[in-house]
Amino acid sequence: MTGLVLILLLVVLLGAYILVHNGLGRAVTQVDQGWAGIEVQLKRRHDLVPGLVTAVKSALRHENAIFDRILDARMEAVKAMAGHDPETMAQAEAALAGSLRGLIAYAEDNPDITATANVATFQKQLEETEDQIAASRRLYNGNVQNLNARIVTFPGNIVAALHRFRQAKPFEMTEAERAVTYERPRIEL
Amino acid sequence: MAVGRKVWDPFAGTLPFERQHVAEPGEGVKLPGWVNTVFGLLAIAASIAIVIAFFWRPAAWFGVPALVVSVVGLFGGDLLARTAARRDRLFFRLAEKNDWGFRLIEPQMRPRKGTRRRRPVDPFAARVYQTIPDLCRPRAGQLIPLQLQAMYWGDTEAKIPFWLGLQQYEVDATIAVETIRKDGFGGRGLQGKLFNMVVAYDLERDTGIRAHLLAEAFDRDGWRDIKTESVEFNDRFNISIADDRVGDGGQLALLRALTPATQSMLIDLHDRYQAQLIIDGATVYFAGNDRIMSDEDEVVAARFGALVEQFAEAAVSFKRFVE
Repeated sequence: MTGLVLILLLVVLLGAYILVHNGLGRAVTQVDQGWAGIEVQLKRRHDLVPGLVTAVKSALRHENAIFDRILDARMEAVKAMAGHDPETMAQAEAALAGSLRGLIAYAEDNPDITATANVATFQKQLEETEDQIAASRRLYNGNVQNLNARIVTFPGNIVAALHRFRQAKPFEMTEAERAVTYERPRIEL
Repeated sequence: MAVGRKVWDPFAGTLPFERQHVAEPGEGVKLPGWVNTVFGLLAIAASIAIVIAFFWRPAAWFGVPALVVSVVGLFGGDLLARTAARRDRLFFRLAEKNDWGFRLIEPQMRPRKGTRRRRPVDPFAARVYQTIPDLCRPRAGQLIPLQLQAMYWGDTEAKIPFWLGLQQYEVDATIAVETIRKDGFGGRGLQGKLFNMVVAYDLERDTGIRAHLLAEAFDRDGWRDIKTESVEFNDRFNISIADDRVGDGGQLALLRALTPATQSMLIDLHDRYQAQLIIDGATVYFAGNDRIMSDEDEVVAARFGALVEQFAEAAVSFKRFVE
């Protein structure tokens, strides 16, 4: 009888262990999926930049400095994305977003530029992409929160320590990024 | 009201504009809110006593009379206060204010059929229950059934035609947690009203699928439904394709529509309204509920219009993402 109880107890413990382990594994996959979602949207923004620059350039041929700045910021953002480090990416993306906001603010102040249909289209697409980036970031951070909560709470903390599940980093604004994002757009031509 | 005016209807296509008139019901005798609470608590105590009576017979001497008194008290209070008539008048005033079409779903006669009594459903309500049963009947994830009391046909501020079905429940939060005692308008009270709503509108393009995004039971992710990349979203919505007329692309088409922005917005709408939806070809059915926690008629009347208008706007806001 005691043997049967012990076997049952072992089966229950093993079942619970497998469930917790699989739950953690699923949470890690969901974090990766969320991250992929952010990358899709960031890539979309990167791809839109050359088009927007070309469209504005055709209406503003003599102002090269601003375009160079944006293209440099884009290059940095593409490089940061290849590195997969959320903090570096957040900073590079904030710099790119700041440059783009500056360009769009400048374009809005100059009817010659906004009159070009392409500029309006790119502007709309960029705004939509910004919305999607913000949303995918929120969804990713939700997944990170779920994984991290499982890792620090019982019994996930025991299984996580045994199998070296690590907490994920949320994709949040750093102080530097926040400063760039909320800075008023400046255009010095 | 223009002659020959038509309204969009998700079930019939278009209908002639109609606004049923509901006259002022008069004052009635309104009992204080705590009287209903006392009868409600008495009914709960009576029910417990009746269960105990199965094991200890003398408990029935309290249970049965207490149940009779509480039921008579609750129904009598409603009759004296003319609750139903005042509710119908409130429904009508909203339609009049917004120039919406309006119709009450009246409880009908109960004719005898053979030896069994049956209650025929209003034909307008019947087609709703038939088309979107999952948004109407109680199930895990949706404990409050939707039994329509009124219908509206109108346009949002952005001139998007919609149909709206509505039901009002009385809420007594005397023994409820603090969250239930508060509403989305900053109000707080022990008595209030809960409005169960469903809005339908036209996407102006046929998606070719019938997709269900229903509330998960206990806000936990289910096992056998379509998953998105978001844990938060999967915890709130059970996603399934009921009918895929475009073949195996149905799931793809749905997931393409569920962009991060759409999911983020639906999470917010779920948290605010317990929103659920069904996409049926070109039509979206969007259900949810909201509360007004006050037992003062003036407060309820003042907030009711905003509640329904905000819900209709919120439901339609989803349109721009799936177009």
